[in-house]
Amino acid sequence: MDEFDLERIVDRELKRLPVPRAPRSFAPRVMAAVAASRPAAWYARPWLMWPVWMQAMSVIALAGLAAGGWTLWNQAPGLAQRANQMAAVSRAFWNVLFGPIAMVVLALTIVVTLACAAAWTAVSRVTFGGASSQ
Amino acid sequence: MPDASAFEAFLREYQDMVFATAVRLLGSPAEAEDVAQTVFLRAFERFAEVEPNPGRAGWLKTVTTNLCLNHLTRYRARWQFFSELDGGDGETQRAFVESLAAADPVPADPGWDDRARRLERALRRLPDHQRVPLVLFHFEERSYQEIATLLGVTLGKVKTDIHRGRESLKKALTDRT
Repeated sequence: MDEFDLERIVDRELKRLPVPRAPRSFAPRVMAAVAASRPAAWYARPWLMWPVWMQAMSVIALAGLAAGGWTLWNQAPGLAQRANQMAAVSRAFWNVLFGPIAMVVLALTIVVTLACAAAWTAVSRVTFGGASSQ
Repeated sequence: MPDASAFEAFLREYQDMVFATAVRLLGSPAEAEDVAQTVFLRAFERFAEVEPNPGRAGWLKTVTTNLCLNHLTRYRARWQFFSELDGGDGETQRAFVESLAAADPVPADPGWDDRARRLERALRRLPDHQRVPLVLFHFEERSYQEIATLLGVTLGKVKTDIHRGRESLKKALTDRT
């Protein structure tokens, strides 16, 4: 048999083969993969992939922030003065009301925390037989 | 976002064609399913362009073929290398025919008679470097030169591999008839 006959015979036999069918589970599997591969929400994507109207809105918002920042910068001397007044009032409140008892409250907090930790360790050892430290 | 029901109809229309192309190129139903799934995920990504295109079947076949060749190159030994080791002697032929008695990967559909099942099984069991050019030639209607270009091998090697594949198929058919 020469090459031409062999090619002809094999070609005829192969062309007569039925088409292998995809398994029944194939379509549901692909649809599940498609559902899992749906693109993320616009805000989870890079800015360049946002919808055009959201890009426009974000540019407008950014411009608004910049304008606000510029306005604040121009009013900075007045703001600094007001901040100093607020700080002076806060210092006075602290010195009069909280300053004297602050150290006592801090010491009390530390003591109570340490006592709780010691009590928890003791209870753990009694209950778990020291397993908590292993 | 493509319409899911339209895509499902598209999937059901072309799933057998894509799966058949993949399973014949890869010789493994499990790997063919993976590749076919990737093909349809690509189609889903570009569904707005693919669906109305009259050449969508050709597009699917091309993508399937390319993905199968990538898969073979990436996940299996390269056919060039094994082809060089395979001398195509009688020993190889005998081992191939004996291997056909192993587990049957061909589904037992009622449309398949014994001869078709034997030929399909023999085709899937061919070594990659013989099966791939043979399938491209006989099922995908590619020329020898196109196959050589696609696989990055010489024209002579494509002809030799296809000839050996045909001999093996003929032997598989005649040994039991």
